[in-house]
Amino acid sequence: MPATVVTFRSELKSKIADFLADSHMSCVQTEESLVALVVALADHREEGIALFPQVLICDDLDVVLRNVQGSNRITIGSGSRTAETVLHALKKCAPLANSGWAIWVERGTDHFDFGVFREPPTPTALDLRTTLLDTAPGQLHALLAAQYAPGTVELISVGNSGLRIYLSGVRPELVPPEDAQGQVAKWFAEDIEDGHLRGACTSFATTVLHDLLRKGHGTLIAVAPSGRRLPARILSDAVVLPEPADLSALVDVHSNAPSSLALAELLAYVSLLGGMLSSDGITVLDSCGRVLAFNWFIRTDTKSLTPREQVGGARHRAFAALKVLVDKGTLLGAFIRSSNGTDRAYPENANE
Amino acid sequence: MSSAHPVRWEPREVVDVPATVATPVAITSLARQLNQRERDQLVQAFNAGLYEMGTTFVWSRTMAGLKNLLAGLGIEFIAEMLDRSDIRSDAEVYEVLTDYEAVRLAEELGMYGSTQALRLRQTLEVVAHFANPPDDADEDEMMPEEALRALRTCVQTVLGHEELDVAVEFAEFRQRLETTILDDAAPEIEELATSAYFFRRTVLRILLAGCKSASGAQLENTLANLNTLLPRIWPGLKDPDRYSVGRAYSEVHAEGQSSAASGLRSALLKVKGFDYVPESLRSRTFLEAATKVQSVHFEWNNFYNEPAPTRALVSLGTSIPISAFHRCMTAVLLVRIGNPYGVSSAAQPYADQMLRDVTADRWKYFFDDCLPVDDVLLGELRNETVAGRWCTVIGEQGRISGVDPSSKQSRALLKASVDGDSASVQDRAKRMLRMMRTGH
Repeated sequence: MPATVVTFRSELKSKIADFLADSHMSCVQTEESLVALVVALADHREEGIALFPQVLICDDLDVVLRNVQGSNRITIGSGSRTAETVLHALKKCAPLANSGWAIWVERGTDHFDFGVFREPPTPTALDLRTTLLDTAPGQLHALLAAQYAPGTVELISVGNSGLRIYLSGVRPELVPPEDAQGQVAKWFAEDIEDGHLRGACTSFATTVLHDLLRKGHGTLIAVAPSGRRLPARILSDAVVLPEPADLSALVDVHSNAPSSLALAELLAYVSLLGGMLSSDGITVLDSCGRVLAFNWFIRTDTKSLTPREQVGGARHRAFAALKVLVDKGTLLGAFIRSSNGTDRAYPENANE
Repeated sequence: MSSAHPVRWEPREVVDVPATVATPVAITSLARQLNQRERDQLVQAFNAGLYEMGTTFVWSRTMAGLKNLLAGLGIEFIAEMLDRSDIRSDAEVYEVLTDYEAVRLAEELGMYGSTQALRLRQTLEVVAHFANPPDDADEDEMMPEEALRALRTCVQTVLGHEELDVAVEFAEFRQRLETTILDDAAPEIEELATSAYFFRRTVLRILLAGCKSASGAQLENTLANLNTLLPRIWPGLKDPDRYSVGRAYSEVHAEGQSSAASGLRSALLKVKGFDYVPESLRSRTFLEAATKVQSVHFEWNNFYNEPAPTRALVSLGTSIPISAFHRCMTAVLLVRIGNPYGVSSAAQPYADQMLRDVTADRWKYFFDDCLPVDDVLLGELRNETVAGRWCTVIGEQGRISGVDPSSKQSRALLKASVDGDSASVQDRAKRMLRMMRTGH
């Protein structure tokens, strides 16, 4: 008896067709291209090196770039309006599309042009994803495809949070629908008094977290309420910074006088935070934009865990322990990014 | 204020200093912002013939009073009104606002009328001239009538007021733009769309300042009003002001202000205005360099201070982003036309270098879209000496010969300039300035 062949293709194609229709960008060739692109982006490598390109597909590149504040567009090539052209574009452009560069594909009547452009140059700027999601649908035709986590690809379009495609076979009901990363970004700036700085820090955290997390393999974040010192016994197994790294102060300096020095310092600390998030253990932030500690290993009281939590991985058990601290008021919130790309924040929807 | 006239504010009345009040003692007695000791010392200085010293003191107190009042309006508002992106939100007004800008802004906000503004500018020139006399004027002294005229103007406009304030109508209108949402069908919206260019621009700048600085409900009101008003005034807006909307979007986007960016984006989409959004903040470098040139031009010691910032501006290259073109042209032309006392000789080669690279298309753009709303340049061209120098500068530009501006007024001014008819240039500049400010 021949084997039954199962592929994701028909399900994926149908969802992408709906997504394109919702985005007012219906097109058979684009549909085929996106199917191929999603699979390619899920674990994209060149010469063995993992790459994380963002691909912007649109109809009027000039207007879209001004909207997302992209600049310095460079045309790399063009081809017929087929999936092969998009894959060729990915092959040519992906090695270029890092450190602030992204790929663009402009749809012509019977062809695709492609190349790279520079993303907004400062980490305080709204990122491509946020800008597209905040734009009212219908007036611009653009979508963004990028790896969200290993094995997970996100497709969003103008005003449409779109699709998050898990190629890992994770059960949909286990993927929380809320924007857990956005929750962390809000906690991170919650107690900053100045409204403008709060907005800038929220945007900064959104951009930085999204970029760092999608390139990582999962992490844990705890957010402590500002002005309240965490008991030393709790952080006994952590690297506590002698002086908190005050990212909000750096954002403030950069906003007030965006000099190259201020930008360099801010970027240096973004890199430092990236290192902390990719370390084992929990990274501890506070609600006025500071980094307090990293590499924190929390003791878990297995009795307090649910049966499901008890059999989960170490990261999930640590997250469960953090939830207990949140319930006690010791922490403002906790966040987990699983290795399969699912995010969860606790408490959920705290700001809604 | 009548709601049927939402944007017309009249200048407040100046302190009455009758012509019969003509002695330092009598005039200083009306200077309510000076205390008795200061008045006595001022009179002593005048009586001793120390006119430069006395006038400098009066001027510094006048500017301190004026800038103190302007500071109360908010630094973001000041920056937007002057279209100066280099002014940061934590800056102090007295550090960043030049005397010339303070005088101009106060006039626009109705703190005094155009006649008093003219007299204040003349006083500024006189004070600056005697504070830093050119080499050929080392031995010249200030005359008593010059000092008395300066004292009278300062008392009439600023020092004579117990409490100086912006025009009540302006303050009320600004507050309304920030605290209420204007009805789309309200007659005042239509009125605004047909009002003088100056009012439309001022309203736009109030709204843009609010987008950058307000938060919460105030920001929501401001954004809602921008979305209502921008589509109505957009067709009549000149490019420099359209670019100010695009730059505002670029700035709030770079600063991560998502609500403000969202509201501005919505307004820009309504008017299909994304062509006016700079792709990057590169234009900001040009704008800041041009602003520096303009600032030093109107400051004391300008002849010595103009060369360095002019050289810096020119060194940015000939590829001026279109969104910064107007400001750059204003700056280099100010350097070339100088002031009634002369020009900064050392700065001329740099300004010439920049003007040589201006193409015919860009000259046409300048005369069609920039000059008609350039109250700084038009204001300067009202002076006979400056207008004469302008004719020379324009006559030297080879690429300007085939330029034929679309607007009748600009065409006439260009023709008068090329013909070397400075009197006509003066007259045309006055008319264009009046048209911009009053609509007729």
